[in-house]
Amino acid sequence: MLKQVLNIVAPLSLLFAISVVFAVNTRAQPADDSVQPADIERGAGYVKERSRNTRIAGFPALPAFPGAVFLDSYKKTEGGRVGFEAKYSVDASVPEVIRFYEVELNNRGWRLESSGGAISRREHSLVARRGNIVAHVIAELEDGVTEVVIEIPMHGNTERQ
Amino acid sequence: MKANHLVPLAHLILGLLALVSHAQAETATDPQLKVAFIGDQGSNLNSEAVLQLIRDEAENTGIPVSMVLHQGDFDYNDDPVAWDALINRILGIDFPYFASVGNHDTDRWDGIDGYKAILEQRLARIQDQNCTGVLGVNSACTYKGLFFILSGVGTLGTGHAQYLTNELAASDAIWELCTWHRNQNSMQVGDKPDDVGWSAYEECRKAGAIVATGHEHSYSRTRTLTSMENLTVDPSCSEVGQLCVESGDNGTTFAFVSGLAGITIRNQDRCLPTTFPYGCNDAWANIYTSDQAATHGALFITFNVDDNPNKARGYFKNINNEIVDDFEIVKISAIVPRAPVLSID
Repeated sequence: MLKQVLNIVAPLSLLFAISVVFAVNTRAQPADDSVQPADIERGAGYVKERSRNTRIAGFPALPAFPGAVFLDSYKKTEGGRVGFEAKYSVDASVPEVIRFYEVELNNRGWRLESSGGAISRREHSLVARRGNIVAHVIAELEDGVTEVVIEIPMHGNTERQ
Repeated sequence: MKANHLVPLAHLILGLLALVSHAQAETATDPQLKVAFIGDQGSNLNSEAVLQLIRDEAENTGIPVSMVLHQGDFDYNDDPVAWDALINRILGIDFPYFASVGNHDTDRWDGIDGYKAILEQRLARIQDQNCTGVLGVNSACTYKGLFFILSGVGTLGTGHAQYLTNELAASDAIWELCTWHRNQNSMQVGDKPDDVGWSAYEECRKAGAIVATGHEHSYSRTRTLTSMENLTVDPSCSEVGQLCVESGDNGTTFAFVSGLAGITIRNQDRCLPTTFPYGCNDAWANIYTSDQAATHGALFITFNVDDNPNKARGYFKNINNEIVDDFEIVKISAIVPRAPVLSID
């Protein structure tokens, strides 16, 4: 009798254990390796996902300045709208950064909008458009370090490449 | 009348006399004194457009701008002479333009033809101004009845909180402003860190002074707050378009960031969502960044409106002449007591 019970219970127990292990492992692996559950902020009608390792998934294909050190990136969604940001520090001057992106954005089909005036030594930005996407490339020198921020303001949909 | 009724009666009369005399001691601004608040200017077509916007207010609204308060970060080129020339070309050599130092101004702040020297030269050309202290760092000014402090708190100089406290205590102006460049993280909607400390903000609140800042390249304005540090909205004056400013330990005021004078425009990192009502304790009345398709502009506040010295009206206008925020401010005082409790939005 006992042997018959064990013959039923043992495989059931094994099956249960396997399913528990499977469920735990699945939950521990986020869909996007770059985004950990702790880096997701949710609020009234919005979600903000932050990546501290690499540019957030879905970010429009825009180049990073050569040698740029990645600092932070996030994606925010509200209803059907999405926006992005990626931040780097670079070993270059603000004019060098701006000239790089002027060439790269042009080569990739972005239309640059000029604010007129020479490139400021301390801070400058490019505003570029492609389709319904606007990209702001901002380079700022502060405390001897040039920080580059690429911002994609909230818009209706994401262009993927 | 019996003698034991005379003493409390005398106290009552003396108290009323004190109240009236104190009320009469408050200095009003000139009627319809309009001030433009800008920050983070640069030297490009947008910077010029904002100055032109300020210049053209008289033609567009019938009320000219009497003065500019620039909360730091001038041309971003370390060229004070060229910066001054831009202001002279568009607004005029004698235009009342006051400024506090920004982080991008410190390298050329001092010295001959530095920003401070340029501002001092302009100050000498402004009629009827009265400024004391170290200009743009720890200075207190009165112009046309408006009292304002140009502070370098968080950027340059020391002793700011005490200076603010002392100067605000000595002022009897109805309208008082605390102006500086940098922010506390929760006093802006970008990624700026805590650079100022809370003492400056809270001393201004207790004095019933409006806090004007720049640094973050967007526009944002709080509701009436009873605590700046805790972002506590005044439940008795919580409407988005109505602000109450009052001095006292439980004083109230509001703060704004006006950083769209021409340089880069940033997005909204904090207090999401990007549409009203925003996050962060419902403390923000208006947020205008690249996420709201912002363009450059200035905040205008007109003091002493509708024949009421204790009333002001403000609006943010962009270079496309679009009004993106508008509000009224009441300075609560012995003359104008607090209104009945208003409902919370």
